Amino acid sequence: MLEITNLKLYYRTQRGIVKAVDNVSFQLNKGETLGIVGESGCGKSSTAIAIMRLLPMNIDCYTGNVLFDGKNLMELSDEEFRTQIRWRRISMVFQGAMNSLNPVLKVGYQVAEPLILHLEEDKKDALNKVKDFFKLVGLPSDFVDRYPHELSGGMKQRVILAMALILNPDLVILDEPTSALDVSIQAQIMNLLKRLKEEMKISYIFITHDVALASDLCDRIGVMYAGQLIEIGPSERVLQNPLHPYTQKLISSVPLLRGNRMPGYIPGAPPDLVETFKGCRFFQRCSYGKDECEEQEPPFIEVEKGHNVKCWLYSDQK
Amino acid sequence: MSMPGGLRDLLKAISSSKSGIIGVAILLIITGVSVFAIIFVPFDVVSKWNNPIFWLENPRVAAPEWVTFITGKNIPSTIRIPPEKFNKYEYYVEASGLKYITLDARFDFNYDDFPSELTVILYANYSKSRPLVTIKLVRPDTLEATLYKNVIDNPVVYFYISTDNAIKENVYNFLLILGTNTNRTIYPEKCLFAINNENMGNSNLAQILKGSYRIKIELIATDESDTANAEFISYGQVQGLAGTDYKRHDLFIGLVWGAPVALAFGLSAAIATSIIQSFLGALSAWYGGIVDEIVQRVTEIYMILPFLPFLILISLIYEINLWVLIVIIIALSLFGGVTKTARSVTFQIMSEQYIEAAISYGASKLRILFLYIMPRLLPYIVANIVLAVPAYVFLEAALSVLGLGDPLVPTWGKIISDAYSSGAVIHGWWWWILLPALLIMITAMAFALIGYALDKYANPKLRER
Repeated sequence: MLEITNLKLYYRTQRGIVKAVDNVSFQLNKGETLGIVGESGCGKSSTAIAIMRLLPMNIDCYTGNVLFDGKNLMELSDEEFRTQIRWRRISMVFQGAMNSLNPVLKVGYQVAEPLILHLEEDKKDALNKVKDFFKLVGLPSDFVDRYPHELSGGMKQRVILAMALILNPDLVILDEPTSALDVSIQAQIMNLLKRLKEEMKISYIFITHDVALASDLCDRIGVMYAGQLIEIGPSERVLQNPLHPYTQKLISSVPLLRGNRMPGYIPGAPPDLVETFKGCRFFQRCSYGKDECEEQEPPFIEVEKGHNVKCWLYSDQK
Repeated sequence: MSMPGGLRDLLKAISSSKSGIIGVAILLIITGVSVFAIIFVPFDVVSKWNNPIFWLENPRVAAPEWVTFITGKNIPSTIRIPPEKFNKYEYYVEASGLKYITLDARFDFNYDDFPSELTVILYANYSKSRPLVTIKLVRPDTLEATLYKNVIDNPVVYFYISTDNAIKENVYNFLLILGTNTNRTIYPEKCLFAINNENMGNSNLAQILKGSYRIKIELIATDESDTANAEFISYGQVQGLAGTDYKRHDLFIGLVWGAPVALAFGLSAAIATSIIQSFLGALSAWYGGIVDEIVQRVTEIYMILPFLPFLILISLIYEINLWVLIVIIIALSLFGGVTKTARSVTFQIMSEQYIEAAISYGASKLRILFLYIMPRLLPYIVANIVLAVPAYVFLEAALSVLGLGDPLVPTWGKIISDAYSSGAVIHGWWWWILLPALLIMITAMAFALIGYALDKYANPKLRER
């Protein structure tokens, strides 16, 4: 359904050009959930922004192909994209639900905004529809008359979800939907997401830094590092048999509930995305570093079926 | 936090500080006075204020009545004897064909000072020829002064006893007969009420003669149907709660009516300029690019435009009234400092996530501006309005003093301006200047006090959230 090839998104800053998303390619099938994990500043959210085309002012480069149901979204004008794709086909749940609601509007009305804007429904019909969606996401339908400050964080998150789902999109991009919530609410929201996925047959792109959460929800997981997708594959394979040294360390850094192992850590810090890279971006922190790692950018190799990795270690298995 | 929260926070900010409470209390009193003026002192301000006949019964530049409590002196207030209080004797002599009419009224004068003016108004009703009128004042010491003896020219005659030259001549003769010193200027209202001694004609040394006075008006008419009525006014030196000015206006009415005018002027100018400037600031920040550039450059130009010379020029060329003045002020402050601050506040709001969310679900730029950004600017706008009101109240007063205000409406500034041009300072007519000045200050202070309480909102640097 969604096929992204060589997506690039560079920002222009005073320090230089930040290559936030650099040659990212992946596919997503209908009804599938792709998790994108990685540490802060690795380009996860920028990928989402690039797909949604919510570009900030300081864009330096925005290229690549985004094929959505066979249509290249990059060829649409901003206005066409706004009216045809955004929210109707692809919607998004933003990082930090607390701040994603206009404090001045009643939540019901705000959820109805896409209906009013896109389907030109009148306010009353739209509000009735919103009530149905509120039930769907597990909120009492009379909550439509509340203001955001009258809701708890979890409730706001449910409102945001209702807003994302209101136009029956094919794809919902969830950008750290649970990062601002405590663990019990997080679990509720995750269960809700799972239920909605089954009921509504939606695809998700689930962006998180929490590998455990990704494993819970996602069919496939992609790992990003320094603006690049370094490994992608089915959840179980990526988690049980991580190929890239970074993924291996990332997973070993997750503390275990039982067992005595100390969580591992990755030495060093992620590279500054302003730099120009010659070889592998993980080279400085990698314990398997070879000469070619430093000199040449590693290829994206399919090691097992549907499980690709961007690393020189597997070049002989090609 | 939000708009409901925002306004609630605004109210909380006011009610939780002493200055806010005091400011609101003063403002409520002023508003109460305005409402009181509109409801209980119905008054066609523009036409009546400028109609001298309407104020004829008030003394000229009288101090407020409460001055008597301060000085402890029994300062005369106005005594008015209406036509129905006059005793009227009429008889017709058929043989001569003459009708004799006598109008007679008594009044007690027990004050410690002289009246400021005396006036007799005669309403005569004659058919053939004009009657002969004699006006006499009978004093407690039984002396009788003839003030006027002549035929009248009109059916309604105002005898200004204090200023009429013919009457002054009669009073001069009256003093002459009594043998007092008449070398000085004659002030009829003084010597007529003075004790009969050598200082009777000296307005500085004359002593007041207390007691019961009689005003006697005799007419000799030529027709049986002729008749006449009279009215006598002894103007006092105190009047009402706020005194009077040189044109006999009751300043209390002027001041009370000045409150709604000042509030309306200050509020409408402040509201209009604050909203327009904030909106342009938000527009500038939100649309950015060329719009931003244009709005910012125009703002800078506006900020260095000389405000006063423009107003002087406009008022030279056009006739200005209060509402035109507001329009000019608004037009000259479409852009300004608020535009700059609102722009920076808008940048803060723009970086919030819900704006991004709104963009992503397809809200248009205009919709976001009005539905998402402007409501968030509201607390800031409100605070700004409150801070701007005193500035505009002062501005109106300043313009009035410079002669650029509305010449017809009695605003506080206009009253001060009149006092200034009539030389109130030199003559010591303090109430004419101090009372309106005090009201301007109190009003400005009320808004300033509320403004301090709201400073957290007005000043983005002090914003806590």
